[in-house]
Amino acid sequence: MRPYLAAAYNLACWITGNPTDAQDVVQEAMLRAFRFFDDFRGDNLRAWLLKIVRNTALSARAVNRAAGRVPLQPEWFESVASTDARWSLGSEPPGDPALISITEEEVAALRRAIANLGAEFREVLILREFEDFSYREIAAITGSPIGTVMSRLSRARDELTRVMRDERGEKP
Amino acid sequence: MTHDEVSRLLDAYVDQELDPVLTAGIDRHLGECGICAEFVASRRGLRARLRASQIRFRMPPELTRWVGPEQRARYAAPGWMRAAAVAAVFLMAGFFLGQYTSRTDDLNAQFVNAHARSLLADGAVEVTSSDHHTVKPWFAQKLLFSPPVPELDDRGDRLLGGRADLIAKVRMAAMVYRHGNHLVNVFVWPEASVVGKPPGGDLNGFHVLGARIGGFNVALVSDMNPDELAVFRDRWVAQAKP
Repeated sequence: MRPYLAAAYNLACWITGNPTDAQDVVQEAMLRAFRFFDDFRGDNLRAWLLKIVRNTALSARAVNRAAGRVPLQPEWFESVASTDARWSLGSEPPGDPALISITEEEVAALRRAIANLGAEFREVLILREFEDFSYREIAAITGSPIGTVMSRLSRARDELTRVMRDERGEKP
Repeated sequence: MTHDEVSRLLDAYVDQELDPVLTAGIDRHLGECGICAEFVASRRGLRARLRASQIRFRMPPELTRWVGPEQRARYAAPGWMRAAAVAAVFLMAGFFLGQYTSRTDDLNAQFVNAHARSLLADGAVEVTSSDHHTVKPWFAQKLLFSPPVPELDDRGDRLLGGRADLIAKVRMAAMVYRHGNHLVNVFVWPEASVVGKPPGGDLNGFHVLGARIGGFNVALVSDMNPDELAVFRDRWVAQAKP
């Protein structure tokens, strides 16, 4: 169960923009998954579950919007690592530390850049880069055609590449 | 392939989403085209940085303790509905206590919880196979006993696989079957164990049935209706016989 929940929680964080809502979203999504389990067809439980998480998170965000709360706060994304160990980022140890080194400034810049992406670009990037879903699975989760998934992913990566280039330009 | 054709596909290439023919075509092009080769290198660099940055949010531990129906009821709805749900759970618990001893109630609940967990777990099956020649040896190795593993494929049911589960501190073989739209968990453990055959019953829409066969206790859990589950059990028992 843990790998599913971890993926669910990560996506919920990036959509809702704060840990409290993300937790509620995961709980609620699990409940829905349970209730509608009979509707589940096919063999990709992980993608099916993430689709429910995504839809639950989007409704939560809509509620936040209607209530006049600003849902996604880049400051939160940038500060989580330092403010509270519980919310520290990263769920697995780096595979091979020698493979790539990244500075704290670069991490902060990446995080900010992802937070600033449009929601439709961000979710595709998260599902691909952090959860390793295939294009087909991402299309199913987000309810968009594969072509759209591809172009959104490209644009999200272009944007992150630009930000990283700027970052390195400032600190050669 | 032309440069334009290739450049449109480079993200899919990096993500290994292309068929072998296209992949080979792009491999060739990358050998000749510096611009595309640099683009691919840049994408791979970005991915490596994203991995290294560990920007994935780590789940708080209390969320991983999400388990049984009782907790789910708590999160079902906000405010008074949540309170009502909790009250209902207590009422139901009281009802069950009136019907059975608390020990047997516990046991049914533990099987239902294990079934419920398996529905959402990636670990519903640890060995995926509809062939008992694969599943049975796997159990033997994992559990040090070798339960019967009927395939039940004569009437459209399907064995999805098996896993080892832990219920009331006893290691059990759990086989997962698909019956129409329902999943069935069949738990099997040696009769000599401290856990006896469950009394059977209903809990939160799930049904538990017990059985006993050739030195093993058996518990079946599913959300299908009790009569259907009883038929399923009888078939399972009949085909489990050597």
